[in-house]
Amino acid sequence: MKRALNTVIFLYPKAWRDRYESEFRALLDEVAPSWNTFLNVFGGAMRMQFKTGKSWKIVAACALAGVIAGLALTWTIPHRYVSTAVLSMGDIDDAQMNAEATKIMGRAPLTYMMMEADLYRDLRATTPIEEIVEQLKRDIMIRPVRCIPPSPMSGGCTPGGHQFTVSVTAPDAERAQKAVQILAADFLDAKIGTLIDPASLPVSPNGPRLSRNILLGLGTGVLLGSLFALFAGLKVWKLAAGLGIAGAVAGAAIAFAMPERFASSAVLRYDGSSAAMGQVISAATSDANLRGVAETFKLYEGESGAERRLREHLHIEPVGSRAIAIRFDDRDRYMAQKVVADVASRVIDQGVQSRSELALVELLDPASLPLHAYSPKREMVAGAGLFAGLLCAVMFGIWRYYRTPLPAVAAQ
Amino acid sequence: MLASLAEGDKHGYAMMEDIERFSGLKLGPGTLYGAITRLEESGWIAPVPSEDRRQPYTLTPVGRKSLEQEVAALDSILKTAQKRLKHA
Repeated sequence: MKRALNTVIFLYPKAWRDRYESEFRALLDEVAPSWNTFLNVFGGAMRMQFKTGKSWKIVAACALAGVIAGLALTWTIPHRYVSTAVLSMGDIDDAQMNAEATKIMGRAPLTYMMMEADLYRDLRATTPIEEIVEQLKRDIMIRPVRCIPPSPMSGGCTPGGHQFTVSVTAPDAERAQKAVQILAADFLDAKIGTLIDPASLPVSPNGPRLSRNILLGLGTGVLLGSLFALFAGLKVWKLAAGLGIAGAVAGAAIAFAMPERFASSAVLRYDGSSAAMGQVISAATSDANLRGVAETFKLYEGESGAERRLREHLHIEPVGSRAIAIRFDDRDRYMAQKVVADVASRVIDQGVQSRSELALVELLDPASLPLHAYSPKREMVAGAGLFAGLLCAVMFGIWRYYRTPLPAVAAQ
Repeated sequence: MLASLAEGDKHGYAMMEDIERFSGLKLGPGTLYGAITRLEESGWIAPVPSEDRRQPYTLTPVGRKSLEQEVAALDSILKTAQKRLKHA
């Protein structure tokens, strides 16, 4: 607590500390440390900051700028409409439902839906379809119905049972509705649901939300303002700007110097137990098989333990309850795709050989061709450089402050 | 605080103890130094030279006059209240 009390003094304005810090510390040495004392000193620091006005004005200005930015964001972001349909699962269980949902959410059906509903018209002209499909997946929501109000007047609710909702977010109401109609039709075609409530035509947009954006802007403004006030208090404005920019540039340079890695992925669907599928995957990715993959594509030539190196970059993980995703990353995007396609075919072959345990192993999404590198994350490395630069400036400011001797009060 | 310093020069901790003794009011360090800052800026109190890290303060003539005025005003209120209570 003593240490916390001594630290909180740092929150007082510098001019005040120059005059009173020594005697204030002497007083704190005599006072019994407690939470009450801590809060009292903290409150005193805040009042003094407000009194001097400088820090308060910086924080207020940044908060105002944040609110304005939040408002601007609300007006510039296009409206988003959400259409929803309610379906009943009938007699099928959750596992079957998950399996069918995974199938319906595959790249091919979603691409069809995107074209039919004319979603992402502008984006399609500039961005690869695979990336837009990933965006579309984030705009689709399939959720079980937890509670059904028996009537709008009663306000009570009964468990939703086997019902679920399918929602799509789109830039206009008609396209959102069309997309939900296609999705609902897919579920009906797969005979895993009956339509309870057809796709709604949203009358008002769901976003962007004004209050949320204003609060977000306000919070960000206060945070940045406090940071700027800290720089101003420590008188390290120029140093912080210089070191921040230098850190960001250094981070970006390091990120650009790092080799790019591309990740390809494929999705396989299976019918049977996950334990049986696990055995199939183990057999398909045995050392001998991976050595075969490495030799086929001349991976890690001249290096020992090629299969071990390949295994480090190969990831196989479950997707829902009846599907798996195979992912491999490499410096060559085409190589990443080839390896995933090869491993996927080996898993399917192995599944065919163990037909007694697995009724089906099929390719849902073929190996993707990655167009953008997943690593290094250049923005994050540059951001880390910026943060490190700012932190160095703050540390320097604190060090300089403690190094500078305080004026002798006794001489006054 | 002015009443406390009217007795003689005191540093922060001595003021805190004295104020608690005669008024029952326990001031925190943040509150005390907030007041010291304001009173010094107003010229009502002033630091006196000290060898110690603890800084004693003294009541200035302006501060003494302000205290006298404040006490006179309070005294007038007090007497009026007492008189009215007797008649009530």
